[in-house]
Amino acid sequence: MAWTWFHRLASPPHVYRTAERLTPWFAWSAAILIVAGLIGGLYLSPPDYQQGDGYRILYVHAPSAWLSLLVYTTMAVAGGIGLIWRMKVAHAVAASCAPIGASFTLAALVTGSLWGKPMWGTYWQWDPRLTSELILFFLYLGYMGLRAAFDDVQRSDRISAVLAVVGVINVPIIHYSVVWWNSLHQGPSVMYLGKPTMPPSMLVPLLIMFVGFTLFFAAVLLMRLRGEVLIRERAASWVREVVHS
Amino acid sequence: MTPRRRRLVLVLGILTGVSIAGGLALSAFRQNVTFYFVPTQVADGKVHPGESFRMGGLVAKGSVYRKPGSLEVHFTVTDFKHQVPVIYTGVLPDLFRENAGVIVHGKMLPDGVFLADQVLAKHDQNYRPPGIHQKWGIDHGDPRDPALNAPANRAAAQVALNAGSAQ
Amino acid sequence: MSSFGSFGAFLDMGGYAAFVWPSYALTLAVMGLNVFWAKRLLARSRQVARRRLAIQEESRLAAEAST
Repeated sequence: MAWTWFHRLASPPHVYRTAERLTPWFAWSAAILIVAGLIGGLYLSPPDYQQGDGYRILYVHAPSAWLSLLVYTTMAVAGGIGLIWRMKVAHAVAASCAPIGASFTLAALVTGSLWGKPMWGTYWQWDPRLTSELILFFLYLGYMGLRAAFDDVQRSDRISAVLAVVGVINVPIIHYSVVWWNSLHQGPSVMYLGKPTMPPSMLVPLLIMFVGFTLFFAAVLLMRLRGEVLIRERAASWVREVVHS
Repeated sequence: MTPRRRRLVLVLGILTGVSIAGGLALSAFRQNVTFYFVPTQVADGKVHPGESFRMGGLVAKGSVYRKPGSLEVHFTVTDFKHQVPVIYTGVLPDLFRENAGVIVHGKMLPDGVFLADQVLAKHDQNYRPPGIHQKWGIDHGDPRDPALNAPANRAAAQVALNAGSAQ
Repeated sequence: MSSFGSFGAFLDMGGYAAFVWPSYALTLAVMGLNVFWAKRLLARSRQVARRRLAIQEESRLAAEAST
């Protein structure tokens, strides 16, 4: 039936081997795109007419913020699937996401702060976007803390999945905060259906970075997933093969 | 129903419940959640009197006046429907200039002037190289150009102050 | 093609060097840390799995020996 691919996805040895096989592809393409984006953003793109070269923080800040949201959403969806279908692999995906998301949320917050000081005049304001992104950071920390609180992996999987699902409401809040409320943080720079907010010479490196960061997330996720899948397996025969290779 | 169906309902229920709770909380606290008010809201008396608050809008063109020999600066914040005169003493952010976004924090004085203790520049999400006009957003000009912040003459500043937010 | 006249100008980032370079350094450090943590997790998980297998093997041998 059409669900065979889904069930194969749930098979730990299949997931482990596929992750092992795919990781280099994602890693190398991420590296190439990120290097290209760095050169484009730092060097090739023109300065901004009002922010000068200070705006170049955009090229690391916006992709980091994008990852903070993408990773949390992945974590919540994987947790939800793990809860509903009782799938160990789904919980492994969720667990893999947390440190990645937390670190990029911190990167978004700090690079944003460094950008805000010269442009806005302040390192921090309790505006809707910044506040909700900070809440996201605490959600990630809470998720990781909750996991660590339980010795039994199954129990920590389930309880942290509930937290992930509950917290996912923060993601649309963060995204739409600049649209729904008066805020200091400006509106979105990249909209799917809207007019572009910058010329191609500035936009292309940014899009390259968005894709590069996303591929990087995929590569790191696949690496962590292997470890998380191994931990959740009782000593099955496929583990013996993998471990002694 | 099957155990899996039950778990699905549980997860969707949690999602729905949290969304409703969050939505209700945010709408109930809208007044306190407001990060800044616009001049029209200030003119309409939507702000609690005597409290510090934030006001956001555009720096009205030609309204910036710097008192010579001090850091005191007067300007008007507008949302094109109402204007509020502001007095601030201190260093202004790099991106502060006329016709650009600004968010001020402070108190409303009894004579209708806003006494600011913090001035932040707000910029939009448009970026473009220098020299390309009007294609990628309003041209605010080079912030480092002193001519763009030409002080209004003293009389004009006084008129603006007297008028207050009565417009 | 670039707007920077010299390497010095590039480093200076139009006066914003103190904000731009730490931002990039931090983001790259975050990437490096993520790779490091992932490799460490995989190594530790393999250790745990190996140990589990060894324990299982031991108890299996003990069970056989006692029969």
